[in-house]
Amino acid sequence: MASAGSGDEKAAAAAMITLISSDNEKFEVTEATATLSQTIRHMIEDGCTDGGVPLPNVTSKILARVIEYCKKHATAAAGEEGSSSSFSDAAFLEVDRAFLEELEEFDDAFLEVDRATLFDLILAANYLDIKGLLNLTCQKVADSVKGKTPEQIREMYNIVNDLTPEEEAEIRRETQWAFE
Amino acid sequence: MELEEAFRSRGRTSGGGGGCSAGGPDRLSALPDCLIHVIMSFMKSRQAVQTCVLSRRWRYLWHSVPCLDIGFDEFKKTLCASGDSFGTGGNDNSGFNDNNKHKDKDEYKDWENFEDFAVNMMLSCNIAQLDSFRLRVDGSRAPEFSNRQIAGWLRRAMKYCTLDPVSQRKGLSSGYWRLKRLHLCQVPLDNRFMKHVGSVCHSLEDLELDSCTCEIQSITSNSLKNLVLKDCRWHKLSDITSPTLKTLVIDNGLNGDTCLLAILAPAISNLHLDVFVDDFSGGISINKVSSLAKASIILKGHIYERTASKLCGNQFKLLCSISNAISLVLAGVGTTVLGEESRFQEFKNLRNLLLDNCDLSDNFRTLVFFLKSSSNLEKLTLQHCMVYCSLVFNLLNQHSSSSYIFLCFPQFPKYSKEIIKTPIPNKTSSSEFRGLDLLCENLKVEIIYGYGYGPHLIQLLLRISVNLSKNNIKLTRVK
Repeated sequence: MASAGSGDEKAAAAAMITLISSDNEKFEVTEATATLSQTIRHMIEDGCTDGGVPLPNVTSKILARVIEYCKKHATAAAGEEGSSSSFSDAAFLEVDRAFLEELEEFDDAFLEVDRATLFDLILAANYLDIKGLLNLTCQKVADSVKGKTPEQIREMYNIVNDLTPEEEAEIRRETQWAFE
Repeated sequence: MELEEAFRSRGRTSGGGGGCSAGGPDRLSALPDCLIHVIMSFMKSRQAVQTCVLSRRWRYLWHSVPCLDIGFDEFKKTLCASGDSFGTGGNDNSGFNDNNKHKDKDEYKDWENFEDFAVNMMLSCNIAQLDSFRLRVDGSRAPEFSNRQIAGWLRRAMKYCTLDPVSQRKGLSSGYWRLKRLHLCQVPLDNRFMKHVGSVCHSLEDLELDSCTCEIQSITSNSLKNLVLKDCRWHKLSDITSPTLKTLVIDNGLNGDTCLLAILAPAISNLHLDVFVDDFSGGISINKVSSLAKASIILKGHIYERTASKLCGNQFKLLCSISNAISLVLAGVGTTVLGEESRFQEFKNLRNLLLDNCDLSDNFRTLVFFLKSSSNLEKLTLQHCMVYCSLVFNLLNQHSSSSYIFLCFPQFPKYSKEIIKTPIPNKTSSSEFRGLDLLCENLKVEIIYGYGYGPHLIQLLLRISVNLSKNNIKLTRVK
């Protein structure tokens, strides 16, 4: 399996990749799932995935969640490709719609995590270069502060205000046009 | 001196702070700048700027945010708030008129705040270096003079925003803009703006104009991938030319002066055209598109045939230009859409056809046209289509005066009298429906109807076409 060279396309389609978390847990995923990560895609292209891909920045707990996301979205990506080229199912319009809804539900449920996990996911998505996941998680953070005052945001995210009252007043003066 | 103080106090907090703060670590501020910028990109710009007072870490972060989202709607709430506080000031003795005056003043105040914000924002964040820029002036609250002002902002941005600071100082706009996405809502635009986009925005991929008033004759770009024109009022838009364009959406809007709109975009794979025929009375022409995946042509009002619009009547040419589509939605068209003569045009890639709100009262001529021309059709959907003809009535042996089948609701009372007079031949020759027998057994047919005789159409189709398998027909009733 591991000996299947990158030249053998048929083997590559079904090839499995082993991802190794920082706490040394091994995850077997299909190449289609793994290549949602640009980082891993490049490693595959460079042919350096034999013996597993060590991911020292990602714990097994987070990696499991990231893989869950990639699996779901890899099938979505495959479906999309299929609908623009092969059209095996004529009812693809409905399929599209249903699938997008399902995907949205999945994303919503996926984001039901505590704040620490959310930040771990952001860092993992950034490290693995998974654009969809990065946008999804960052959007979640942005949405959480929507309409909140700076004080409320500080409290929510434990941000220590290290500005002196004078400094804060000065900054507010400089950017008064954004606070009016 | 201030700076020194700042350093000292930073030392103080980072020494004592770390992970010891009561509520746990500050994971948000600990993110690298680039990730905070991604988060900021999902915020409205006003809120993004306001993060500058969170802590020292946040003070300058907003300056380099790659996406701006400036909207007048963010300043509406302020109006109410400031209106209240103003109201309590010296308004006790004022009469109705004074109140009104006050309201006007507040309204302008609101706009002034927005203007202040937009100008400062566009000044602080060099548009030339942005990834994405959204400017929305939605709502009817903007004062009359707002148009002139916004045009001025854009002009200044075009003139002074550049990646090259030297030419910026000279007041010349020479450098290119990095902008990938530009979304303008209710912004007045002129030809100069479009030329600027064409000559300077070499990376622009997504352009969305929503409810803009455009004195633009031509949209030309060598980088655009997605172009969405929604509810825009065009003065005389004559062409959209882009060799790179993948998705084109024209959603309503109005093109003045009976100007023909020519679309020259050979690489389009997704075309959505949804207009009232009267609003684009000069017509729309599209070059033959070879790589079309999905096309939706929705010609509202076509069915009524009342106007001199060039989008009325014969649209055979338009249909030919999209004949490579894999999926086609044709909606709102009447019986004249193919013109007078009998026509043939191969739709060799067509797999999925949806006829929506179409008038098929021409003995199914339009339907037969598509059945004949698309040998690879896999699914046919007739949604809220209208069928009137005496032969249908006869075939179904329905001895009643209502001899027309409505698959949809639109009433065509003009037919009802004629119908009664129509002689009904005793023998039904299915030659009138020649072509419908092309419905082959593998074809999936779905009929969606709200009112009327959906089930009868199925009966009819089954009778005519011996090949059609009952198992492949689906009937859906919607409210």
